[in-house]
Amino acid sequence: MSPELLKGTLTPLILKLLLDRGRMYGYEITQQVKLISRERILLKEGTLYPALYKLLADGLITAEEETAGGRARRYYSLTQAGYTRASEQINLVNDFLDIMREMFTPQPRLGHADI
Amino acid sequence: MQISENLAYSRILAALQTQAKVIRSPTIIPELADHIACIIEFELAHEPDFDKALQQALEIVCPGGAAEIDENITLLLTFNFSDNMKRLFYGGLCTAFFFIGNGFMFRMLHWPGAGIVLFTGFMALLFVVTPMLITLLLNSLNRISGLELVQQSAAILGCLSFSLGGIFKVQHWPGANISLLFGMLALNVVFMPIFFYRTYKQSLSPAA
Repeated sequence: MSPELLKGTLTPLILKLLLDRGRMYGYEITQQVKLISRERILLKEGTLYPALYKLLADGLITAEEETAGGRARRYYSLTQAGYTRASEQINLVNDFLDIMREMFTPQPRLGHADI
Repeated sequence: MQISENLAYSRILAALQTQAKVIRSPTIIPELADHIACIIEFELAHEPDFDKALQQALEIVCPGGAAEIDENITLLLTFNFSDNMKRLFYGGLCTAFFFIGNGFMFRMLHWPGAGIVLFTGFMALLFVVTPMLITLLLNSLNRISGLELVQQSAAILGCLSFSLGGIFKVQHWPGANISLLFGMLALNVVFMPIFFYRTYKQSLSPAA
């Protein structure tokens, strides 16, 4: 999948996953994206973590540390503001996809039937 | 391969800490360590050699080093700040070049007002560009190469000395010539060759 096309959809993608699954940790998010997209979208860690920290700074998600298998693991979940933003973003992305689908679906050519 | 709070996990943490000596988001290192441990456990379980698995996982998670991810986080969180810094820096540099360049032209053509035009340019160089260069150097001190450090230090010393020399010269104060000479040497002999060499090298890289 072209990184250019993915630009701008990373935040809605993370918010949607957290909305669906409640709480997730970094590795889990990358794996879930890989699984849902049937390995067509591979989320890079260098992109994911800065995006998560930005969402955290914006107060849209919250982080809690837990010890898993003897090591610290950071779980992320949506805040109240995050739930609202997630719904808004999902609607925006769906609207955008509808418009794009209309624009990129081949249409029958009109206007040459007067022969 | 199960990685718990043992030697293997400590080695992952140590490898990440070696890559990034100064970290601004301290939680990122244990988080990346957990991520790497997960990759080794689930995706590289076939690899019997832990060192090889660790290297492969590091390559997957942070090919540019943990410092790069930390830097991206800082950049994203301070985007507006760094944007304003750049605006101020390039604005100051543009003003300094404009006034110094025109001041020299005024002086060569014996037009009136050359002194004040030059003085304005040198002041912009001294009070806007030089402090910005110092701030940029201090902010990037832990992640720049030796050559970059020499380049940026030469730029700071050169700008400082050149602008002070220029102001002294316009005011006919003593010590202007030596200061101008030192500044020009730092800029022309040290800064410029390194700057053009690095620009040339960057133009050869495939990302350019």
